[in-house]
Amino acid sequence: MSGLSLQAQALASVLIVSFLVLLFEMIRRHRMQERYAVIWTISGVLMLCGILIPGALGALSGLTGIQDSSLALLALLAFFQLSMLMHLTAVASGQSERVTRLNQECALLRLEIERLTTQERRDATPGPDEN
Amino acid sequence: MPGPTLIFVPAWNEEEAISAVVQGLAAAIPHADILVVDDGSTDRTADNARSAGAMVASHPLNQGLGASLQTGYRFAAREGYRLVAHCDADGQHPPGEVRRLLDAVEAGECDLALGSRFLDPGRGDGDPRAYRPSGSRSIGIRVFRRLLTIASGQQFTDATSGLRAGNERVVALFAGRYGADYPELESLTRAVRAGLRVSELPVVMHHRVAGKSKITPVKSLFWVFNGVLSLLAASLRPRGASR
Repeated sequence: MSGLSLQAQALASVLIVSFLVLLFEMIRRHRMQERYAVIWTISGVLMLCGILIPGALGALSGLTGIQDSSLALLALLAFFQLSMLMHLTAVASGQSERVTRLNQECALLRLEIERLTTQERRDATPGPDEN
Repeated sequence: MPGPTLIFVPAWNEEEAISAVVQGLAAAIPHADILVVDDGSTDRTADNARSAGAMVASHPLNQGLGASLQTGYRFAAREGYRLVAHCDADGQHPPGEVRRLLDAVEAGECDLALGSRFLDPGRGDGDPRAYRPSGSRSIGIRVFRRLLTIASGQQFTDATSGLRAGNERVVALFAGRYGADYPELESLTRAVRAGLRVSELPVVMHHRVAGKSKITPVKSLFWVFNGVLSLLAASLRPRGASR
């Protein structure tokens, strides 16, 4: 057995399955990109395995030295949450770099347009010999 | 066609000082093109710079000093400038000192010249506008000077100076990548580790001519934290790497 009561197992399983369904639905509605769903999916599936596979949480308890299986499950959850935050911070950093690049390109293009417009106006203005 | 020399000035809400800075640079270094990188200013910085005769590249959003400097380096790389310099938009860097740095790079004395307030402390004697950092700032500068020396393996006296000049090797290195938030320390470490010849020259710096400093105590704390982190990361990257 996983060390959790049947009631706790059922509740946790329903929550995790709901979470995975919600995740899939968000991808289906284009509200989340697949690449950002990977770590969520892995953590959801692993949590489900920990709850449903007999002895999995017990093995985790033995590995971590946490005697209470429920606490081992919470520790696993905390670990995945931290991983998620790290992943999201990395994503935000990457996006920030892309925004900076776009901003810089926009500034340089604005300058280029300004220079071309000035040049065009100068070319269009008749010189003193052309009057 | 662009001239061979570009001076770029990162500016954020410096409408009061920018005209005098651009005009001073144009008078002291008439053969150079001047680019003001307006970092999403909400005042008349861009208009005033344009009226003073500078080209203006305006970021739609405020991105910070590192991004502004990189925009300058990108423009230089794209337009084929072989000699560049950058200085602050608040009038702290006298145009004559910018010219001295450019001359040193052009003469082949170094690839990257850095203006130092501390190499010759007596240089500003008798100049009522000469800048002297406050006690707390001096301590911070000393700490970073030591850290930068350890990280780069080269002795520096003014790690936080924003007055610099460089040749096309510097342009190529910094157009590719430039630290985002507090770039002075990381960029110097990268330059040394990429094998560029980096030299400090004694300069005098002035108090800002107008406006207020944007450095607050909280920003200073972030600056210290980010500075230490970026130095550590830069010193652990392989030597000669362009990124």
